[in-house]
Amino acid sequence: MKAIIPTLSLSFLMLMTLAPGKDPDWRKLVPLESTRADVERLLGPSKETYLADYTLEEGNLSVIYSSGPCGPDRTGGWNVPKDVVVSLSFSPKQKKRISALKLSPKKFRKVVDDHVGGVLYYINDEEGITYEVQRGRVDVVYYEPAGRYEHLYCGDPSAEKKLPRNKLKQ
Amino acid sequence: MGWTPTNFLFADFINAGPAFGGDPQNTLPLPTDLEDRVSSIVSNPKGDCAEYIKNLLAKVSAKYGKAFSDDASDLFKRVGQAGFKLKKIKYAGLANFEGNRRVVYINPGTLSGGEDERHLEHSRNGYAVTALNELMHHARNSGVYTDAQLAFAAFQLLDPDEQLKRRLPKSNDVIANSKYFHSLFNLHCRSTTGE
Repeated sequence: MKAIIPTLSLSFLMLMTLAPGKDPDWRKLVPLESTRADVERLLGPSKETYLADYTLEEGNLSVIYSSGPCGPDRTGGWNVPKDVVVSLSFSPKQKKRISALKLSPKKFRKVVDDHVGGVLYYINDEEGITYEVQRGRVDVVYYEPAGRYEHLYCGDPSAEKKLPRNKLKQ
Repeated sequence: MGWTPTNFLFADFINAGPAFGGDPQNTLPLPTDLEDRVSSIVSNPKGDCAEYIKNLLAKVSAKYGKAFSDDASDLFKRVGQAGFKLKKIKYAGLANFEGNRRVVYINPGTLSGGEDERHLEHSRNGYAVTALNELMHHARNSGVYTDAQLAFAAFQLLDPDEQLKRRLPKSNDVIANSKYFHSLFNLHCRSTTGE
């Protein structure tokens, strides 16, 4: 398991423009590549078993850790060892306009939340990044495993029988 | 075919029941005492709804922004009885806005005409369960709490054994997050006429 990827992708560079500041550079953390040890080295220890919340200068960061490989008694999650980072979410204090990020429509698909009014998502499946937008401003940024790791997703058998994932109105 | 009581067990998730409109005359109207019915669910001794709402909103507000209130009655009053409307939608409920005004759409239940009063009461309480579920989205002081945000808060309230069994869906999967959050919420906030 690689510890921390030193190279910054285009999307991560965009995220730096979203929330530049004095916080430890948590944007180096990469889902399915970084581990709890990497996170705690950077941000400090957490008492929780499968998650960690950090209050930073720029906003609130949450990290979800794997509870272990897929199994018959579990739904969802990723087929990786325990304590591997599976996702991060960041809620910035300064809610910047999504238009300021100048996202490429070729890389980000726009999805309207048809269940909760006024919410939009800009999703980059390849890099696993989702901007959740309310009233034109970025409310939360989610970092999921990149598309190349899709084969490691355990899935939710009960849900998949009913509807395909991401079956949303565009 | 009537509106089955099981429909609202997945309140807010895809409405799989036969309740997609039909003759408006056969639509079960929203009860005028919807607020009382919501209050009854919150105080139902078969659950721990009031405490769960407080804990849930404490978690979600700490990360995603201040809640308007953690009292369901305050949340109901902010939307107002007139803000709850029957509308044919693909979910059991939908938290939305009309202009700046907060509204909750509830998928109407249809009646065959043969339902007894007990069945009707159960269905009216089903509307109240849906209303309460949608109020959690509207609980945010400014804007709404999304399904992914509420699912994350609900996950935080589980003990590690439960977290192990109920792993969070992907954050951009609205349907899966909706199902995740509302199914957990409904374990704590139950209809007064449910089992």
